[in-house]
Amino acid sequence: MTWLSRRLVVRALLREWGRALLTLLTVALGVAVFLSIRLANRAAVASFEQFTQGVGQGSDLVLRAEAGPLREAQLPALRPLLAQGWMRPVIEGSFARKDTLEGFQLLGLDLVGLGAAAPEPAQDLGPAAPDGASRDRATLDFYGVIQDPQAVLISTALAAEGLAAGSVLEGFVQERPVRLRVAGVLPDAPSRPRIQRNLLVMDLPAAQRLLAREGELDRVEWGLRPGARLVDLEAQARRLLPPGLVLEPPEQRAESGRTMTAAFRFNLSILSLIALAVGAYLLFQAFDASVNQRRETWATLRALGQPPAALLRLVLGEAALLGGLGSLLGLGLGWLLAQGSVRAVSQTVNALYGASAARSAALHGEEAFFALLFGSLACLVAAWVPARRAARTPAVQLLAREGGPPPVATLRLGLAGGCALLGGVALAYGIRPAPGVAWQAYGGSLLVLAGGSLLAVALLPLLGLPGRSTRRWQLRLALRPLLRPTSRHGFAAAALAVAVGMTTGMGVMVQSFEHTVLTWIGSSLQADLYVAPIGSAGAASQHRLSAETADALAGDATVAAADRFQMLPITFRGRPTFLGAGDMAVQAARGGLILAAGGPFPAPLLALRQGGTEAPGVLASETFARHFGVRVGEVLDLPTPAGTRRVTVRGILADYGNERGSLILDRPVFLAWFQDARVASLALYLKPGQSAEAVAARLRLEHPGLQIRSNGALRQQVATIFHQTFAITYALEAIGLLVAVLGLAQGLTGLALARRGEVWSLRALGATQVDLARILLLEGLGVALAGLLAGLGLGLLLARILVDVLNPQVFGWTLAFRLPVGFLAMVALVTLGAAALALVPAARWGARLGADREVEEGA
Amino acid sequence: MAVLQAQGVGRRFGSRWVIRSLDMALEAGERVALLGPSGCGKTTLLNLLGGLDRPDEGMVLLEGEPLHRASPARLSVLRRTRLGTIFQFFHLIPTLTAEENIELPLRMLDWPEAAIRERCTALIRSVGLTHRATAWPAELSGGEMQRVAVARALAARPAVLLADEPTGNLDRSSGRAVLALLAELTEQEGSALVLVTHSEAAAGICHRVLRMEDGQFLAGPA
Ligand SMILES: Nc1ncnc2c1ncn2[C@@H]1O[C@H](COP(=O)(O)OP(=O)(O)OP(=O)(O)O)[C@@H](O)[C@H]1O
Ligand SMILES: [Mg+2]
Repeated sequence: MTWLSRRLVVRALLREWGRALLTLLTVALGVAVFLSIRLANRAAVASFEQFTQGVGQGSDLVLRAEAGPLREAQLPALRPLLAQGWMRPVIEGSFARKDTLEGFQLLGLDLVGLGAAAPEPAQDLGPAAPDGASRDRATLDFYGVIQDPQAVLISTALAAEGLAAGSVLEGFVQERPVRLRVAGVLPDAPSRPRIQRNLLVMDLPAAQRLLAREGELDRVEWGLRPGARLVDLEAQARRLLPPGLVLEPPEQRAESGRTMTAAFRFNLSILSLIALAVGAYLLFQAFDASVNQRRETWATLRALGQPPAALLRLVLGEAALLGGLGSLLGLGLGWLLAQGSVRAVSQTVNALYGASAARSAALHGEEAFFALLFGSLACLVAAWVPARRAARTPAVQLLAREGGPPPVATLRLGLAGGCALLGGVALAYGIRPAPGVAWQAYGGSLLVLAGGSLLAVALLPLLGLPGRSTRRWQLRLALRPLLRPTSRHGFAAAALAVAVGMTTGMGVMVQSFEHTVLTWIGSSLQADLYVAPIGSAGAASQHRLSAETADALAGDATVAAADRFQMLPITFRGRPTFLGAGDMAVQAARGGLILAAGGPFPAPLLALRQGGTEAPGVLASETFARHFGVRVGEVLDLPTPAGTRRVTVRGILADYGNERGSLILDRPVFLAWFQDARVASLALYLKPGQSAEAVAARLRLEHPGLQIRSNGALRQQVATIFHQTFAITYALEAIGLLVAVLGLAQGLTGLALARRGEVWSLRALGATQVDLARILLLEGLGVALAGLLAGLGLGLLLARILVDVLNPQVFGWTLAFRLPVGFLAMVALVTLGAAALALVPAARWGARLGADREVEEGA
Repeated sequence: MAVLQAQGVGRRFGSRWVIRSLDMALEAGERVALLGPSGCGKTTLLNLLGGLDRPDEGMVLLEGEPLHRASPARLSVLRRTRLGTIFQFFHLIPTLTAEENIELPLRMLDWPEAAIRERCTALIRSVGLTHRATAWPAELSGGEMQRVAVARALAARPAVLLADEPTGNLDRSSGRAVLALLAELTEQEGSALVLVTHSEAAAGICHRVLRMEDGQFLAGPA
């Protein structure tokens, strides 16, 4: 460290510790908000992946049937593959615990093969540890399990809740009550992610029996033997592959659509973006202020003959120091913030997928590194911009008598902002790429965001206009600075505009979404009672009603009509999707599906039935139609256990329930092709005069394994799930908003610091502290108002892009735009309220800057 | 009766007394120059006299009222009505024009609009800046800025005007002009003046000169 940098950087920081601390805290805050949202994201995704992967790790290829189950009888054809790889047949099901109604993933694995025959997969599974002793112990567990058809292995997390070996787990599989016996614990190994809590492992034959699916599998996982090559295994497998079976890479797991919904991911990544934008703004603000405050020093050095490059080095050195320290501080702060947001995320994941998600966020090394990198780099860039400006400005100007920070060119910024805004809208609406991609919508949104935040700065002089003519001196002093705003004003307003804009945009989109979905539910849920096996809430559920139970319910004396609905995962054109089947006759007569194309309800449904099982029709959900580019009238090749069949699309169905999309067949056709009479859910239309609640109560007694909900209760539940999905959005947005408001307070504090002399002379002229605080507060609120107004405007534009372009393009969801006035008013109130709360202490502090001893001691 | 009186005033920074047991009195309309080497405590004394700082011993009386006992609110009122201040570095409010800077104290006092206009116009004319009335401080020269500051300090007709090296930042001719203006206007308005300065010439406009050294007056106050 040079003599100069020691004196000019380190000493200055120590002497002006107030300024240094402010910068440090801002950097910390910026890094913290970035890190916390990233950590929360990671926790959500991790807990989700853990849930998705379950125990089945380490496989290289996955074999499954295109549609319907995989038959064990099809496996011998693949025997030659065993020279190069090992295989692991898997069947999956669901178990609902009786006392808590919690859902569990039930995994049937060939424990004999795992425990004894093939050592490698056993290691992958987990019960066997690398050292021999524990493998023996694990093997013992296996034999305990395979001798008892009710035996299950449970996770350590569940065991920790007091379920020792030998205890009984009571609950339901499909609709039947069952008693499982805990035979052992699946040990966690440090090399693998923890085994999810809600996982039960059974021996394959026992699981098949329990699920009443003897001879059937959901998939077969293949792994390489040492020395073998994946390409060879794959090539040979493709040669041997029986018709109707497909090979997939392991990550393309389609089972029951249990991938985290893209919508949810989208949500999280947008939030990361807010974090990034707000964090970056804060850093820029901090360093802009920090450099500007020392303009005199820099100018003096220039005048004394320091070359600009040397100055730049000094400034950047200081930035690196502050950035590094602040980022470290931010790591701690971000970790703290993350705990709160992770809780929100885990609630959502729990609610949506029944997965037990992480309840706390670990300080992930990689994320910490990125946060540090982000913090330090952003600090350097943030310092470099004003430093270069200072280095380029002639020293005389910097030393000018009234040398406050220079005003920003609001007119130019406003023009640039307006152009960015228009460009963004033009980009988002003007280009139509292939379905599923939406770079133009993302790009447009970013441009709108950038433009909107620039416009927030340009709005400042407009808000300052009353200060030009007013005769009230406080108003004059408060608003005049807005007429020629400095970069401090600008950054604070822009950061707030981004935060408000994101909140508004997402909020309006969610509300439009909610309104659309509730309307859709209102129309499509017409039956009186909805029946499903207990525990079948999430998409992960594999519970089904047996044909007999469905018949019994449909034949009940109080029931006028029943619509049996079944849903299966299939692979269509190489991509996972769903095939559903419903009773179109009942649906056409009594239902109320909303159709996006194919004619008004119920004409397409009737058209569907005309071809019988020979030339049947099919309904495609809107999401399916978008994903696969399918139109009404198109003929599709549908994979079935009986071979490929041709179906004609008769209508496009509005469907917001499933973003993978689905095809819906008429039930008789499905029965003929799939030989699967089970039912995922059953809609019952009661005879006139029957009380839904009374019938439901009676049926519940008769069928303890069933969940029977009235129309109202189901609607309520759907609405609740919807709210939970987006709860996290609001929680994380609140962080962004909070940070932006804190940034505003920081900006005001800095402004007061920069205007120390002014505050001092105002006091000498007789302004009281209350006067000064009021002036500073008013000025801050003016900045907040500019941020708010621009934010609301850009937020609405953003919402339109999300609703009009992004949702249809990416998810295939057509939403009706809805302007939620109440929500906007709430955003405005919360923003201004939070701003006032944060600004009052800052203003009071600023008013004291010129204070004399009279104040400290009171009088 | 003296408008401003210091009785045994002292001020200490840490353990070091910068000013010790000072007595002085200022009669209405009287102009006193405070002369002394740099660091002898002139600014410190002026801050005590203006109530911007509190003495560690003794007291300051403004028109008989002890400043150290006044509440912050009362002090603000006194500053608006009875005290005027001029700084070495002008300290004009950069977001107000010259004219608006001058009328600021009057607006603080809620003067009626017509009275403000009249007083302000008169002041601007007397400091010779009628043609620069709507200029921003950044557009004014040092001498012009200080003339605005003088007008602003006198706007509310204070009983005492405290000026800390008002010409320290000006060239000799604008310095002379400002000093002449100070003498003329305080005379005209009947304000007393405490003028801190390094220059004997500046002291020439005053009725009395107090010389300070090491926090003490050299000759006892006359
Ligand atoms: N806030 C302070 N903390 C510590 N010491 C101070 C403080 N303010 C002033 N001093 C010291 O008090 C002494 C008198 O300072 P003062 O500013 O009154 O001098 P001055 O006579 O006005 O000098 P100049 O003519 O250079 O303006 C100086 O030695 C100064 O170092
Ligand atoms: Mg001095």
